[in-house]
Amino acid sequence: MKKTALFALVLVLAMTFVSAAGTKEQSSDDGTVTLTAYMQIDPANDQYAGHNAVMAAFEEKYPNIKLDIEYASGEAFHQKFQSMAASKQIPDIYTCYGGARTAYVTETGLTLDLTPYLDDAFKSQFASATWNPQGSAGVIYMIPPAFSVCHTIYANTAILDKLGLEYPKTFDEWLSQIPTIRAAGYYPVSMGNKDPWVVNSWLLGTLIERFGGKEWIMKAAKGEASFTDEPFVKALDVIKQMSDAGLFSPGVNQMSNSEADQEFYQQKSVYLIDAGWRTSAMDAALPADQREAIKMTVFPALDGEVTHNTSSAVASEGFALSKALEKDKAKLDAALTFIKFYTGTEGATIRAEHGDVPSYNLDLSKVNLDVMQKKFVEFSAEYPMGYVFDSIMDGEGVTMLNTDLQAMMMGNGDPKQIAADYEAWVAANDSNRD
Amino acid sequence: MPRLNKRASYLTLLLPAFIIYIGIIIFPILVSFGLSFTEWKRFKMTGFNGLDNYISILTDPVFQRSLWNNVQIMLISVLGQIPLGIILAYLLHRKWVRGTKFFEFMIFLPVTISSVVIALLWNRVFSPVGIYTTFVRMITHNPDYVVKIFESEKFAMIPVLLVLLWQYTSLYMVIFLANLQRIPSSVFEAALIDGAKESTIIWKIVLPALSTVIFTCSVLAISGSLKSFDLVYAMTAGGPVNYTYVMALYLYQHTFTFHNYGKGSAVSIIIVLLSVGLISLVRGIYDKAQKKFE
Amino acid sequence: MDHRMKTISHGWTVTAYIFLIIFTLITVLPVLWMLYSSFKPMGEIMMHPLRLPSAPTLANYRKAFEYGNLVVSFLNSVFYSGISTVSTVLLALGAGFALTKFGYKSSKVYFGFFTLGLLITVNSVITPLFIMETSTGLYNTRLGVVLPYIAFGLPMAILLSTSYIRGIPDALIEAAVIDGADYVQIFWKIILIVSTPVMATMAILTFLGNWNEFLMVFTLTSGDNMRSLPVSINSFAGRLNEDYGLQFAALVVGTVPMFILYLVAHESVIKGFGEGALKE
Repeated sequence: MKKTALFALVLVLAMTFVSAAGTKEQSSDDGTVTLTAYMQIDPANDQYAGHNAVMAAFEEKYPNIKLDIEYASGEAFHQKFQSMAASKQIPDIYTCYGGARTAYVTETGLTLDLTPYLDDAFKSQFASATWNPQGSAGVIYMIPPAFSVCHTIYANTAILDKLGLEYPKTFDEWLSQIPTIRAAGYYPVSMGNKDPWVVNSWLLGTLIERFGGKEWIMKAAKGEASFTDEPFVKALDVIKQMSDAGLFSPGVNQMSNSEADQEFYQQKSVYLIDAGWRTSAMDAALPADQREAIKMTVFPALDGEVTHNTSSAVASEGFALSKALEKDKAKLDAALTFIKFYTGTEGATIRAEHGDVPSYNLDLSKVNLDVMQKKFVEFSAEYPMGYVFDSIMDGEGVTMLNTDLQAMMMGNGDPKQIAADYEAWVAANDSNRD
Repeated sequence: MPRLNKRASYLTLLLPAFIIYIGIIIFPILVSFGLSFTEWKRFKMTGFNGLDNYISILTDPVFQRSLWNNVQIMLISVLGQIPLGIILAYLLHRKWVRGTKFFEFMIFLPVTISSVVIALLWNRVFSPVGIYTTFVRMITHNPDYVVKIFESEKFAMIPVLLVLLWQYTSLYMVIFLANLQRIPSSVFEAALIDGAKESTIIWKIVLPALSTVIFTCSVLAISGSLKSFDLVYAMTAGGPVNYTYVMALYLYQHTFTFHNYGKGSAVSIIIVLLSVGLISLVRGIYDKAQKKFE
Repeated sequence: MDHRMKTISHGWTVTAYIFLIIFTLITVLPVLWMLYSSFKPMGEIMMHPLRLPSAPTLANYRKAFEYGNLVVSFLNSVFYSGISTVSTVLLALGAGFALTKFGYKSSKVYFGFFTLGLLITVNSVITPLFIMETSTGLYNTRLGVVLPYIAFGLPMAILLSTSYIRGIPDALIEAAVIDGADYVQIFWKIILIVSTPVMATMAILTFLGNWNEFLMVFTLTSGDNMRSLPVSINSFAGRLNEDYGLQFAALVVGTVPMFILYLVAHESVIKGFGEGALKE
């Protein structure tokens, strides 16, 4: 019976653990306010060094506000968040987007409209795009601490010099560089389109904006224009030309982002199409002279474009508050204190020192930045920013479009047909057309 | 200890498991069943829509491709992993080679390795910047070489299947190895003294003795393959295009990316029904085979 | 124990060796790669993915332990997996015994019901489960993790236990009944003892499943003190900038215990079995 005794022991241990488990919210007798938080942030990653520093500073300044934070990333973050939203049990503070990706929480009455709590004096200290209306109600659900730049072309000028080339002024000139680059044993452009959202986020949005201007996308979304119209079809056609002409390195649809980065880092390719947030990783991975030789720029001029030299950017995920906080003044005040600290002067200054480019207006010229981070700041200031396509349109349609785009890049598909299919889907299903 | 009568003992042994199981799995799946007949728009249930979800899923070419990919996974499991598992277990059990313990451990290892590591390493070898690809580019002087099978609409599943074969065979080997212990070693010795060949021993002694377990493993293999998610998600995430899509990915996407609980639930129910059908089929085959052996 | 037979032809042995050695190489290489890469910084993994670390560093481990709270996660993992494995195996053996040796008609129905559980994915029940747990107070408790682990472990465990116990001769049980034992005693004194090999198999497979489980523990708990290893590892998966070095360090910490468990349990599969018990 030794075994039985062992099992019994284990079970008793189990019960003790179980009864001791679980953290319930503490009451606030001593004036301490405890807030629950759920954030899509990865504190261990170099990219979030600024975040960690802000959190430490906040803790020091406001010892009576305790944040009980749960961090998660990627698909898992959204999956759990949806379960929370479905049971109407959401944390006091959380990160979300202003657009479609987290509409399951912003559009279901769970998120507090921050408009009444933000005065003009506070708002005027930020880049004006920070306060673009969000969601279908056009209110302010969240304060973005920064912007995500989604279209950047990184050019290795050391190789360009060696080949006697310059960064192309026009798309046609770019295509005409291919033979020279290939003859010298390099690949022209690396891009990791294994996950097909890449070509959409990093390329398609900018191209549509170039052909249609900033206003066109909202017209198309609302049904005042059609995705079978020229700006959209032409943008698709540019991507097809890039594929057909061999501008991308072979296997562009098999490469993950980091594999494409690797190809560019190893100087096997001349250009890299990537997002703006890669700069911190480049600073960590590349030798100084190689970083010095990297030029950050945007897609060259296109025949028939109506806007010029644009990139695309979107408010990053920002901090939102649970609507339930309305009923608890103390918690609401504490939560507002936190998000204003994080996004405002103090938080922005700390984050800038760690390489962030905050939405808060700061004079970054005084901040001592690493090579690529500095280039990123200059890039952000130099190029006008357009919208990001998949933050506007519904996810299901975008997924379908991305899949079709990838098929087209692999030789099966035609821009007109893809545009027609997408327009049909949007007309029948997209929430923008409700 | 007071003597329990037979009926009471039966319930004592059975009910704890049954109650936990009903509460955690059956209750939610009944909810799912109900949801599978509902329509969802903008994160809210908007009413019942009868069989619409089922019809739209079954007529969706992406789902059809997923189904076919799952069937391929099932075939490699039932016809690849199980026979290979038996052979490996037999050869280790009978000590054909030295160092059986070492090899057993080696064969077992893959199931413990995270799918993330497997997928990453795979890419380090076979992606366009991988060593295999780089090597072939070097010796063939063809800088455009890539592993074409990944982009093939018809065959993109094959690499995934090979990895699955390697990863999960050990699961079955462990099960067979435990069950081979049930055959007394005197049976093997007697057979060999009678001059029986190894192949005869496998056919006449091992397979009949393992038949129930083979059936059990087939059930595990079928249900596991129709649900498979982790490795596919890590290796290809269904791509390129949707060439390696599987049903569980389809379920995941409709439930959690497109917020359509109705459609997502209908996919769960379809997976359950398909598995029940397939398992009944295997049951039929098993019963017939048993009669033959007797 | 050595019943290695001289009758096995040379050809078979050589084929077996070649196959096993190739298999071993395919298996060992990823593990080795994971192991030595965990001592390289991210930049070096990117630039020279396969090269041995030029200057081995423990930085990844230090960071993983600091941010991932790995010690607590590790203990939680041991707890969740350990308790639910023991419970699953015991419950499944009890149910397996009841379903095979009692001869009740209802057994078939119960068995069918349990088999159904094999077909259900966690993804399809996770949202209802979350709502159930938050409304019953099980959310963010260890019991709230262990119960679903047991429930999801049971179908496979019951399948294995029934197919094994069915093969135990009825005579063994009948003799005990004649000696005056009741069925629960028979379960503890006979079934548990003769089922050692399948118990070890069930334990290995159940433990493996629980050890690597991510979605349920992630969804049904919140906060650092309840996390298990897979949740910590996932938190390093980095959405926009992946840090492989960090992931590998955490994965090494997560994989090694499985190796040890297997080496320990493996003895039971092979040797713990009293062959005499089954001789008729």
